[in-house]
Amino acid sequence: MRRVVAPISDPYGLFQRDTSGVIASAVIDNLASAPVIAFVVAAVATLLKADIRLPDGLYSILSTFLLLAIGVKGGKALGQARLAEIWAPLLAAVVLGVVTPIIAFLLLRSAGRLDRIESAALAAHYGSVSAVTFTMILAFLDASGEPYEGFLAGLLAILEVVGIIVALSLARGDGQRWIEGVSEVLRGRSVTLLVGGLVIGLVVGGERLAPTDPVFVGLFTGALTLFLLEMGVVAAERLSDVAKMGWRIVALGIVVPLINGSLGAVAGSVAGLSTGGTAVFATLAASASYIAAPAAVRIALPSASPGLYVTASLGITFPFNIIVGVPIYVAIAKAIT
Amino acid sequence: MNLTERQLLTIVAEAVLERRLVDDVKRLGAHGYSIGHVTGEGATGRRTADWSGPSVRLETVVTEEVAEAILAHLATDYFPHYATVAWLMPVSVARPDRY
Repeated sequence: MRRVVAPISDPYGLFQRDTSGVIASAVIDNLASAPVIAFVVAAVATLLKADIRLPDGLYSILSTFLLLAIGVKGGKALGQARLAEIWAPLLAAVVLGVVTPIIAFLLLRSAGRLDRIESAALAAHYGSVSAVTFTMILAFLDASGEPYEGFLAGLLAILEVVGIIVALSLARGDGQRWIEGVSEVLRGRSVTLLVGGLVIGLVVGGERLAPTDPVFVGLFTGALTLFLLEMGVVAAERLSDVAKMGWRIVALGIVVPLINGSLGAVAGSVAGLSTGGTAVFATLAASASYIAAPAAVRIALPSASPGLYVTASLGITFPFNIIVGVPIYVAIAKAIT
Repeated sequence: MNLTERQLLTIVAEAVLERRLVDDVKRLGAHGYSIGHVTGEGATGRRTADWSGPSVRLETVVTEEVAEAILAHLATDYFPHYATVAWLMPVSVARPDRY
């Protein structure tokens, strides 16, 4: 068997030509990163009925900080990018935003045996994206020394919105509040902070942003680790609900991100993104929203069960993606670019 | 002191409804409101600071007509779909034109 020797800048070996056998070790290494291990520790502590919950209010502060920081970083990169390199990924993001919720909807209707409203509610989550899963892939790539296009944070905002609008449209006609749901997404904290950060980064630009780096760059991984600690608690609290969901939904909570992630990788590659950028794109397509989508769906489709969509997104797909999914999407990106 | 009777309407609802609740209460005639964020337990289960944050408790002092209009709206648009409770209490206020 040929041994793969990875350079220091690529500790997981994922960016070597031969990726055989490295996904498992990449998953293990990914597990040992501070944010992921914080998630696991908090989840285990919660299952053991230990109180590891962060003080009230810190969750909001951390999510606000993370969304703004992602936006600022993306806006800065957007300002430095040329239109010629942005338009194709932009178009691909819109196409993905339309296609991924439709795939999720069809799978949930057929294989998941859910009704139209419940399927659309879940499809909104799988069509939209998770900003935290996005930061996890960036952290993974940074640790690997693998470059990626910084402007992808701009696409995060697009994907977050388009997927929800498409999914809510699939349920339209049953007297629900479609416009209010869409308005909830557009005016919600998640999109507003992200877009606000993008504008700040874009307007202020590179060098003049340097004084803010100790906050937005220096504190980022630490804040992400604290946030994942809280996420571990929330996800573990959902675990008893996961057991009640039935194996079909649990399986789809893993299959849907794998299908959408593969599609995202293809789209990213066709749009001309680098290997790192393609991995980010794949992760975005695979991720499921648990902030913007639940709020929009709760408003627009009140008869859909939050116990189902929040649990699937937060209790199944989110842990799957950050622990196992990210290294897989990187490997797919590596294989097709 | 000259006091007038008004109704204190208290509504506790899912956090995600905050903006919509405020819009509705104002549209139906309330001149003002106070909002607090609370956790607790009720018929629909334990409401903790979950993905959408703690529940919202809205209080408004209104005339009886406005209180009834808001409660009627809650009965059709909120109670069937969302974890929402509401109650009325008579209160005495100075400066009744404010409410």
